[in-house]
Amino acid sequence: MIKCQGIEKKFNENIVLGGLDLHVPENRISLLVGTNGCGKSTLLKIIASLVKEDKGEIYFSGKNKNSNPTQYKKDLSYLPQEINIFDQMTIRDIEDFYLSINNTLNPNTVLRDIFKINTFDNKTFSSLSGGMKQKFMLSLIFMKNPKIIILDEPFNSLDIKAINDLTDYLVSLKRQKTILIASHYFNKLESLVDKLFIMDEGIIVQEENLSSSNSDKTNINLDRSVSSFFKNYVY
Amino acid sequence: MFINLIKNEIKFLIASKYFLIGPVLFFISVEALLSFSSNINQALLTITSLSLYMLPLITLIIGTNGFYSNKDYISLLISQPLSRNEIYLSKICAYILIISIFYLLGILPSFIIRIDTYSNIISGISYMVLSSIGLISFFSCLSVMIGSIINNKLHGILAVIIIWIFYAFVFDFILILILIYFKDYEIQSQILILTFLNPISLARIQILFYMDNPLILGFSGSIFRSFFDSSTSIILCFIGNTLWTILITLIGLQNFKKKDF
Repeated sequence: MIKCQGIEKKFNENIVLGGLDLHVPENRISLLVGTNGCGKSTLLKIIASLVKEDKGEIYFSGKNKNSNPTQYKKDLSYLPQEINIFDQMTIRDIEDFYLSINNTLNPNTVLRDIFKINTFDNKTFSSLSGGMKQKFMLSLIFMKNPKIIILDEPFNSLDIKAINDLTDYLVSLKRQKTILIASHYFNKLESLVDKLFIMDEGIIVQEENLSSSNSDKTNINLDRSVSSFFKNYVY
Repeated sequence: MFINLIKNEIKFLIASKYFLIGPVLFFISVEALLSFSSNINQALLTITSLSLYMLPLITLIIGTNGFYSNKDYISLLISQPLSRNEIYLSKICAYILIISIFYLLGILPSFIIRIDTYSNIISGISYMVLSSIGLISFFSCLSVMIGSIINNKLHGILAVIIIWIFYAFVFDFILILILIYFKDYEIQSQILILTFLNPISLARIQILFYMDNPLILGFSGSIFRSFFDSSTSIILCFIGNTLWTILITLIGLQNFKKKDF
């Protein structure tokens, strides 16, 4: 579904991505892990068109993403790591704005479905707590009903219940959406990840298909799988 | 969609109550000048100078600060099915619109209250307002361009202050120095060309020629006078400022298209 070929990115003289290749399978949930600063967020931003790659190509369903950028962005939803975005705008204003850009689902339906929140229409975004902001941002991502979902640390600021709610929602999307997640919460994702990408120093150093092992519960231990690779790092 | 983007941008700008300080200060200044000055033409010229020198600074700071404050929001927009051109131009349009409205709110009420007394200078006031909006347009484009080129907010704000000081004060001083240094040469035409590099000078010349006040044209204005008549000078200054605005917009847009968020 998404194929990255030879992606290179430098910030000043600092090489962040050094010829990275990645193939995210269609309608599967993939997890991208790696040490801090290894280039995960930059890669996700490049896929979401926020950062321009210096070299390399990204293909979406066989077509270069730059051949029809508007359609590409219609099919893709991206959750950034930083979410202090809307400042004084009310939730209703933000939703109206989103609805005007995209053909979306009813935002309140999404919020109710995932986090069992009814509404916070008249509140300003800045007045929400960190966790509520994250929940609202996630609802925006899902209400767009995209083909590809890119989530950068989606569990940030969420409480245990919300993490479980989100995980359940992701399970319900399994086999329906192409999802790429960058997260350190491996244990929460064990039951749903089909493919694991391990990144180090700007390249994918290992990839593993976990779909088969998911059916055999005795073999599931994503945390161990990642930790065995990064022996020197503590998560 | 473009209109929606502008609306949102304006919502962000007016969310800060500090934004009202500008029009209130303008209103107090204009009111004080018109109330205490016995000579209306003198008062109008002072208001013109106030507009010419303060509006660029206000526009630059609001524009640049607005760009940096909304960087995360811009990045969210970029990930949506919107073109970067649309996002960039909507920001500029929003700044021009909102700063112009606040400028009008600050400056016009005092004249409207005294409309009977000032009916003979309505065209002068209108021209001053239009030229000021031209200046707001140029500096809005410049502020967004700087925001898109310089990543660090502090450096960006510092850059706009230096640019303002340069255009408002240093530029004419440099012209005078050049003229003194090369006093033995005929360099009037070169000085005329150099004048086109300063939008504030161009706006000032435009207004003062229109008000037909040659005594206070200043150094660059008097050079214009030695080459062209009033109407030609006005048209040339207008074209100069329009070209500047277009050029700055295009440079900023090219940079914004390549910018990483």
